[in-house]
Amino acid sequence: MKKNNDTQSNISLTIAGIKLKNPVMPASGTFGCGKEYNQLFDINQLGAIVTKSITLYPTKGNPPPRTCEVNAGLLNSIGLQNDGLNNFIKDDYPFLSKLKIPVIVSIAGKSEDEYVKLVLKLNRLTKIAAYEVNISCPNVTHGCVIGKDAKLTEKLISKLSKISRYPLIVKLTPNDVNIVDIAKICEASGAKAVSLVNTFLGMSIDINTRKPKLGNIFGGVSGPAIKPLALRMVYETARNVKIPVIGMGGISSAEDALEFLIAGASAVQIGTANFTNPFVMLEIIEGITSRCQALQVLRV
Amino acid sequence: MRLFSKEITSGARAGQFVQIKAGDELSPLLMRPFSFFAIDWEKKTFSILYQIKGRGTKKLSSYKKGDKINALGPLGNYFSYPKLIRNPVLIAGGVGIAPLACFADDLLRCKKDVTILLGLKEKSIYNFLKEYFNFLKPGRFLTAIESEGHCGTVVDFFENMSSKQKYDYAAACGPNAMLKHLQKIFDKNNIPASCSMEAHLACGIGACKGCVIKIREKGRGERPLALTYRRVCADGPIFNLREIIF
Repeated sequence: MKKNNDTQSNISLTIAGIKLKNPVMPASGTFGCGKEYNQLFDINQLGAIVTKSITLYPTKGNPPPRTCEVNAGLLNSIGLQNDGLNNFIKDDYPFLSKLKIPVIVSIAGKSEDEYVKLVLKLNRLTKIAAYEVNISCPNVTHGCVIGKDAKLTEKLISKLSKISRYPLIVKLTPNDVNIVDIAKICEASGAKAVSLVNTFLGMSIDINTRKPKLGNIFGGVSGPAIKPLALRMVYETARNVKIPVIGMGGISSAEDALEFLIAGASAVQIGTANFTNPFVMLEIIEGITSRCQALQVLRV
Repeated sequence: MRLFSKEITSGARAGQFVQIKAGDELSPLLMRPFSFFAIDWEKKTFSILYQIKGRGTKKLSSYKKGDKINALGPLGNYFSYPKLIRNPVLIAGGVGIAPLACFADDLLRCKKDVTILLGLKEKSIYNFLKEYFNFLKPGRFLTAIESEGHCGTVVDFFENMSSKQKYDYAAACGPNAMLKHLQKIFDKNNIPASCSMEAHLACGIGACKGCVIKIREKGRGERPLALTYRRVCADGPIFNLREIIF
């Protein structure tokens, strides 16, 4: 047993002041608030949980079909469907507050004002480790407006870091931006970490009906198909900022996760792979642990 | 295809489904949902019915007796019906027969006089199903097979049935176009109806909200009818057919 304890401490780390027992967490939106997956395994084994993005008011989401499979990837346009902040506090927070792992709450707003209101209200809750500020959702009209604009990003993150009780992790878009520049701006504006990448904007067409396969025409591409693209962005960003980088994009195995860690990510998020194998995060944690042990690596 | 699993079978009910990942290739990437076609609680086995259409189902067909396969379930809700019904009719299009076959089993155990109507494009699975449903009363398994010269679809067949008024409950599964027509007929004849819906699923357990369909829901106050999105995987796959917006 002692050996096991030693192993666990080997892959623990601190990001943005949050202690994680391992560097593996779900990517926002793929894991709900964890309730569903907790029926399959004890989610307290994860490094942290990242919730689905919460908006100030209930959000209906995009018209179906909302997902379609592409070669080695998934195209989605959920559109941030959620029951809004008040219902989150009423329905999901009680569950989250009982977890033994850090809870990272993802927030999304249509305007700076909405982000501010979200943070002020969430600040009253005690069981939150950090906010992941989603300024990169490709599936809502206002989703990427801030994330693609250096000035708006600077304004928003400076404002939020002044009022936030908890550290800010900013989730970045890979679409139409120099992601390194945006990451640097987040760092200068007070973000304690950045997470990248959100999905790549894409589409798919049914050649029989000649219509887009998604109800919303465009969607975000995730899964193994985007891994090399995401890895390059994580590598470059990690070399240009001092704050920790949380890497994601098509990670489906411990080997994939190690690539991101070697590229400079401090931790990784797993999204689409959860849909292929709901236990994949546990396998990745185990894989990273045994790899570190085999190489006698003391710290990730 | 028949699969053995103590865990999946023990809590399984008609209408529920399993997510199956055939092989570990990147394409198809995600698991695919299959309704229970039959459940044998004693032998701890369940069966699924599939048609070879793409790479995934082709891969499924390559499995041999004794092979292991990754399956997650039982998932979703199950068929529930008013206790007092006597004459349920189950209407299926193609492999949509799968959840209804399982449901027919359930209804028969509760001594209901079940009738099944099945629409097929071609005769391929007819013989298998004809034999499979020999537990039904004579004349209770009716088919409309297009390639055998049957005029119209199973919907037309049902609409032209002089006895359709006698049915006090219906359940359906098949293409959306079929369900949409049936909805009109059930509305007109005021027959309560359930249906099993199909959608592209990602997580399959209710977390990702990727598989929603539009539902006409009873709203409050001034807006008696409101549109909401419901998840096929967790709020369904069984819905009240008359509330769905196609």
